[in-house]
Amino acid sequence: MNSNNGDRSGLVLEGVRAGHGSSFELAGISFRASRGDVVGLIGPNGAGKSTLLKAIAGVLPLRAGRIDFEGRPLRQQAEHVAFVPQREDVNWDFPVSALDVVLMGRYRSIGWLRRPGAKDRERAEEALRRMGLEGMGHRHISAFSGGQQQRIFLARAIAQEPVVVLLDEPFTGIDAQNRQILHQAIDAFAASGAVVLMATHDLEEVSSRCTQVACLNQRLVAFGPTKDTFTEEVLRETFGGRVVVLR
Amino acid sequence: MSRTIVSLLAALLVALGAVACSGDGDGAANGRLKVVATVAPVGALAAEVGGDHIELRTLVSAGADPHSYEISSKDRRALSDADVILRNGLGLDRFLDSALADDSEKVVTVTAGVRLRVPNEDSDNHTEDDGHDHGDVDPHVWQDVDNAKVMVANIAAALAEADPDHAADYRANADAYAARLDEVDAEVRDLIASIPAENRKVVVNHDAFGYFTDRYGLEVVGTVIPGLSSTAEPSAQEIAELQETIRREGVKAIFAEQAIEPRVARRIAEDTGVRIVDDLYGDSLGPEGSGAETVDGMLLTNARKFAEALR
Amino acid sequence: MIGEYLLDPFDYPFMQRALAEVIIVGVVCGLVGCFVVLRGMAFIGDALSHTVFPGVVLSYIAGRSILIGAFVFGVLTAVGVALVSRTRRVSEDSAIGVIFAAFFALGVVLISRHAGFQRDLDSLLFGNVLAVSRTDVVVTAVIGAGIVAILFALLKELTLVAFDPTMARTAGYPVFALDMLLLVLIAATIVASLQAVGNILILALLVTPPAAARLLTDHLGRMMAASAALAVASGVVGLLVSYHADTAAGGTIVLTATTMFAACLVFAPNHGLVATRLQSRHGRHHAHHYHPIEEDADIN
Repeated sequence: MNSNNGDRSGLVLEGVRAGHGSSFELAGISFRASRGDVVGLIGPNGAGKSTLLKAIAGVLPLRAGRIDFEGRPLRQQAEHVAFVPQREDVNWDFPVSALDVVLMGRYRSIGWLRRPGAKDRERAEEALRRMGLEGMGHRHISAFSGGQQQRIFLARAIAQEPVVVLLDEPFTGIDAQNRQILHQAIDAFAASGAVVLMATHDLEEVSSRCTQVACLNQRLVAFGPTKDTFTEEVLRETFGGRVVVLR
Repeated sequence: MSRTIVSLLAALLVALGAVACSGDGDGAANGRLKVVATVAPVGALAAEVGGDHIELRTLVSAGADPHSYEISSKDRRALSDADVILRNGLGLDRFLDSALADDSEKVVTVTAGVRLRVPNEDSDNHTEDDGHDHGDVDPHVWQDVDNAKVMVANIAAALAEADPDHAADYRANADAYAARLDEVDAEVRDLIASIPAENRKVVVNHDAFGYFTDRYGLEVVGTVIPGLSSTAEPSAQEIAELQETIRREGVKAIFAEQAIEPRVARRIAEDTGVRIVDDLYGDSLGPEGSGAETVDGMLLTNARKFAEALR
Repeated sequence: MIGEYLLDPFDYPFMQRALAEVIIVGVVCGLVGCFVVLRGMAFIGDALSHTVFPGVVLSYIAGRSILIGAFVFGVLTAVGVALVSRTRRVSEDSAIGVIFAAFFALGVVLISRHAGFQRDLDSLLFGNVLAVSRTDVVVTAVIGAGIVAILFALLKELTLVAFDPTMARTAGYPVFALDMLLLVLIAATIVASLQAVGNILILALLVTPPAAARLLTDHLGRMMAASAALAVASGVVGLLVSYHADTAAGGTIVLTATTMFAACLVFAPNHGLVATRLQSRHGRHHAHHYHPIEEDADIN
């Protein structure tokens, strides 16, 4: 499941440049990840982890380069690209329930002008169940703990039946129980054949869970299987010498 | 690049200067008396009296509303260049006051000596108008020919004082016009007399025809817009009462002046099934060629419309 | 006696038309206003209600229905704001402010050039629901139906863009077009409501009932229904009160809406001041506090 086959299978980035305004820009980023890969995006603050994630998500326009999945532009398969946001980026006051949010994952497949049907509701309930939120779909999204709130958005991603899953700092402020559930979710995405990319500061998680790692510092310092790439030397180059490695 | 900008700016300034200096251009040298009239009826009467001896400018032209007129800088220039300024007064041309600081000796209020009319206070929800309160007096005095004759005489006197060389002509013109007004008076009487007595109750949009209706025996049983102002709106109860009045008194038509869009009056007319006549001349006169650009023409035009609607 | 108070005014066709108008306007404003409030668009709503003004004046001068001119300028504003705020250096609220002032000033200048206007200005600015004709009501109904139909057809997309524009973009939705569509719907709502309440007060109907409804429920569907109900109630009660008290209908309707908002603010079951005071006093945990997964509390 972790082999890098040719163009035809998996996510391909080539010469990707993207940025916010005129000040910051990612230099040309190129790498490949296969279905089932869990890719960690690491780097110091301001390195561009979030920027890259958003570029892959299609939220930021590409200044140059391309992002393809299985030979076709990823943007054409946007329906199956799932973005799990950081908690602080969510509007918790919006009058929606957990089920409403998970159902949003089904919107594209429902299509324009149609309402969610029984099948969609079933899929959404199923996703909530898998995230341990069974029976709580009717609650307002603010009526959950922090860990549970993340699981709502994971359930939404599940409901999308994604081929690419993007996670923005998923391990921040998360307790042991929720961490475990998050691991299960990531493994399930990978097992279903999706490419999982997560931007994170948690190097421990990267070393234990990621199959590939992309080291960013406004450019791609290194990319490759974790085993080979996650070395002291690479880390020092990525973080500019501010790393203490404990074994 | 900056040189281009500078030369463009310079050209712009020169152009502005040229425009500013040109002004009205037609200078003093033709010897005619410069007369400025505030509102259209005063201007029309001044034209009758002054004839070719005067150069007349009317501030609020035919069709415009004097109640909400704002004086422009062109107007101010005309006022300071004028030899005589003729005003209606009685609250109709309040806009003049702010422009008159130094020129007050030139101003003549042509309505001195007319017979005034005080409208009945119909109810206590009478709105007070905005900034141009007439007090209690109806300013549309020229709609009574006797008043118009007084105005014409006052104008002749004012013009004669400013321009004694032509005093005789002014008086002659004034007399001729007074005779014309008498003819019109007789014609209007005949027109109104042709209306059956039971059809002489009317509703008006705005109290601008009081002198006319008083003189010729038409009874105004209701007014859509409360008070003498033209900007207030009637309340729901006022509309309801007006509809009751129309039904009870057998009113045949609602009369509105052409200068105001009488939306509420139209709805009332539709709801009660009566006609609406929306092109009378109340605060002002008609445009050139309408037949109502003179006071005598306006009175006849209005009279014909009343007669036709109420027959 | 109460019956007379409630029903007598509506013996008159002009009051029946006014009633129909406020009901239609109430429904549309109540529904569309939910998105204005949830997306924090009160300022742009206010701007739109003013930028349609030159359109109204131009239509008037041309002798055509004011709806056309108003709508054209509403769309121009929507496009203008969307485009100008794409420039990095100009924030969206600056863009709105600039266009708002410019268009309104254009209207003022146009009016100053056409001396005969002043008197009609009042009813343009404040509306006169007592002067609507049957055609006016039909037109309002048709436009209102169109707005509501589009809103419901695209409800899930508009909701997604309002709640999570990042996901909307990620999932491939044309977010810019949807934002423009919402602005156009708001502009159309304002235009359709101009005759009832006028430029100056229309914002109140777009903001107050939804804000009150938000206090009553955490569920979007129920919020929209409550908002429409409150807006209609404000219109009907306001109209009735203005009849008996001899006050301006538009202003009375807005004050009624505000009173309802104040009542919700104080007495709403979960979010009202009384409720929150009681909860903290009795130590009862509110639905919005954290409940760990083990708790079996029945929250709504």
